[in-house]
Amino acid sequence: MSNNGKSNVDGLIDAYFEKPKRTTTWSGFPVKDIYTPKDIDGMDYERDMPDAGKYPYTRGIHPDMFRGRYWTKREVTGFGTPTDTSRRLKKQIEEGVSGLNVIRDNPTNLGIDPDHPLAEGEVGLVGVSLCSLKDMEMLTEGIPLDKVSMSLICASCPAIIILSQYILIAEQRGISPAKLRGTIANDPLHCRYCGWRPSNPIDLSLKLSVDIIEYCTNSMPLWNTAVVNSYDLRENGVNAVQEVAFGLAMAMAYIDGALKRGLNIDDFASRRAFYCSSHIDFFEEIAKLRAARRMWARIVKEKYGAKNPNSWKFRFAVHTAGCSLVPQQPLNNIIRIAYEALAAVLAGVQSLHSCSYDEPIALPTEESQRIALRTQQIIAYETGVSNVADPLGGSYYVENLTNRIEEQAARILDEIEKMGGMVEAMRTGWLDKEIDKSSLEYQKEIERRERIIVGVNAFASPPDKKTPGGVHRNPAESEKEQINSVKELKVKRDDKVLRQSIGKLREKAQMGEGENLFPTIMDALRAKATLGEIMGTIREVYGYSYDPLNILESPF
Amino acid sequence: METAKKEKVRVLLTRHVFEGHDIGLRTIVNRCRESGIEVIYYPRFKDLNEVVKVAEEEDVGLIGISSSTGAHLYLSEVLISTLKEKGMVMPVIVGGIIPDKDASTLKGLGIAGVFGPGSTPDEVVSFIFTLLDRH
Repeated sequence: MSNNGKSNVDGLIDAYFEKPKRTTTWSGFPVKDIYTPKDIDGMDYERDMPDAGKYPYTRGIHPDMFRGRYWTKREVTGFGTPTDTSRRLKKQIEEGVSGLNVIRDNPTNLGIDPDHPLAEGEVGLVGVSLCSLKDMEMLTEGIPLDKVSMSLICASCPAIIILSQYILIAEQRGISPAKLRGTIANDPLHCRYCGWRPSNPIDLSLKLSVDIIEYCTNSMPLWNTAVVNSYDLRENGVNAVQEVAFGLAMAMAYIDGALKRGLNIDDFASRRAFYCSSHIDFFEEIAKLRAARRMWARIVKEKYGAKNPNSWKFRFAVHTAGCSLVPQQPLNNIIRIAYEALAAVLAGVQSLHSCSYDEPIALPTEESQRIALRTQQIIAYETGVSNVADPLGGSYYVENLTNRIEEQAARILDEIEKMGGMVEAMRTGWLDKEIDKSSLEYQKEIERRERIIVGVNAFASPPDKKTPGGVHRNPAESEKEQINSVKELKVKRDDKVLRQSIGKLREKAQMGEGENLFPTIMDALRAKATLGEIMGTIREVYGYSYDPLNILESPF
Repeated sequence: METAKKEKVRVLLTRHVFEGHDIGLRTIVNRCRESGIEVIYYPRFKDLNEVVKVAEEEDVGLIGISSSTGAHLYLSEVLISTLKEKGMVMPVIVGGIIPDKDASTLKGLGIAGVFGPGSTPDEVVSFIFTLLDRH
C-alpha cells in the first residue's frame, strides 16, 4: 500500500505487485481462489435452491421479483416538530421515494413527553417528537394514508401508542385500518442492544408487542405487525452469521409469545418482516440474505408447522451499514453505500434505505439524503440488475457461501435453543458478551491493519472530514415549539374526559397479560392523553414507576 | 533508584440516557482500562448534575462524555456551567459524532479535548495521560 512513507517509485513498484492480503470474508470465512461444481456437491436444485417464488425461497420470495414491482425505496426521516418532518416527507415524495419511513426522537422512544424535565435538548433531535394524536395529525397532513406505504420506527415501548395514533388519524379521515399499508417496528427485544435504555422491562415489552400482533392480525391485513431488527445488532459489531442467528432467534421468541396468546401461526407469520444490514463484503452479504431466507422458511414450516406459503417467506428490508461509513474523505461513503445497496438488490430485498454519506459526521442534510435516494434510482433504472431474479443463483461461490453461513448460523441457533431460547440468552448476559467480543475484535483488526479501510488505515491523505454539503441543524425554534404545544394541550383538554379514559385504561391493564390494550389506548388518545401518560399508567399497573426516569409522579 | 508510586489515573466516562450509540464509548472504556487507566463507567446519566455528583464522589480527574445525537453543544454547555456553579475544576473531554466545525466552539466553552469521528482509542488514552500528568 503506497502511502507508508516510502519513496514514490518504491511505492509504485509495490503497488504494481500488490495482491489482496486478507483472504477471508468479513465474518472470517476463508475463501479459496476459485469455486467449482465440487463446492456445491450434494446440493439439490429443487430442494435447496429452486426457482424464485418456490419454497424454501433461497432465490427470492416472488417468481418474477422486481419485474413484478421494484423494491420500496424509502429513506429514514424525522427531526424537529411533526410539521418539520412532514415538510421533509413531502420533499422526498417529490424526489421519487416509493415509501415513507419515519423515525421518532429519543424521548418518544423512551415513552416520555417533550415537557418532561429531562427531555430538554433532545426533543426532535434524532427523530420526530410524536407525543399526542395532534402530532400524528400534523405529521401526516396532506399524505393519503390509504395509498402510501408507511414505516414507523419506534423500536421500544411506545410502538403500540404510535400505531394507535396512526390508525386513529386514518379513521378520522374516513380510512379503515384494513386499508393501511406499512410497518411498525415492533421489536422490544433487540432495542436492549442498540444502546437505548430499555424503559420497559421484558415482560411488559413482550406483552405490548403481542397486543400489536394480535390487533393487526385481526384488523390490518396489509400491515406488517412486527419487524425483527437484526440491523442494530450488526451495527454493534456482530458478524454476518451472528446477525442471521440472533435475528432468527429473536423472531422465534416473538412467535412463541404469540402462540402462547392463542394465535395460530398462519394468522400472523405472513405479516412479520425483518430489518437487515447490508455491509461492505459484497458476496457475503448476498449469501447471508439468501441463507436467512432459506432458514426462515424451513423453521416456520418444519418447526412451527405453518401451512400457508406466505408464512414461510422471509420478507426483509435493508438498511445499508452505517457502521461501515467513515468520516475521513466522506464522499467515499457514497461509493460504499452504492455497493451495499447493490448487494441488497441482488439479494432480493423488499424495501431499502440507503445511508447518507455524511452520517458518520452529522445528521444527514437534505442534499445527502437526495444522493442516497438517487443511488437507489441509479441501481433501479440504469444498471439493469433488477430485470432478473437472483442473478447470482447458481454461482459456485455464492451458493457455497450461502451454505456455509446457514451451517454456522444453525449451530448458533442450536446453542441458543439449548440455553432456553433468546430471552434466556439475553437474561443471562450471554448475548452481551458475544456482541462485545465481536466488536472489540473488529476494532483490533482495523488497528492491526488486517482489515483495510480506505481513508482510515490506508490512503489516509487527505485526512479531511469536511462535508461539502455542510451539516444538518434542526430549526432553532422547533424544540421550544414542540414543548409548548404539549403544555398547551395539557391545559386546554377536558380534564374529566381525560381522567375517565385513564381510569378505564388502568382497569383494563389490571385484567392481565392476555387483555389487549389497543382499544383502550385509542380511547385515551381520543381523550387527548399523551404518550407519557398512557405509558406511565400501564407501567404502574405492572408494578413499575410511572416515569421510567423516576422524576415525575402520576398526575392521575 | 526508587520512584514514588504514581497514583492511578482515574476518569469518569459517561453518556446520556437518550444516547442510542455506545459502541464507540465501550471501545474507549475498554482501551483505557487496558492502558492502566481506572475508569468509572457510568452509562446512562439523566442530567448533568448527576454527572458532576458522581465525578465528585468517585474523585475522578477527568470527565469524558460521548454524544452522537447532536446534543454535544447543549450537554457541554450545561456540564461546564454546572461544574462552575459547584466551584469544581475538572477537565472535560467530549467524543462522538461531532462535526469538525463544532470543535472550536466546544473548546471555547472550556472543553479540554474533542474527539470526533475518526479519532482513535489510543489518541484518547494518550491525551488523558498527558493532561492528567500535567495537573
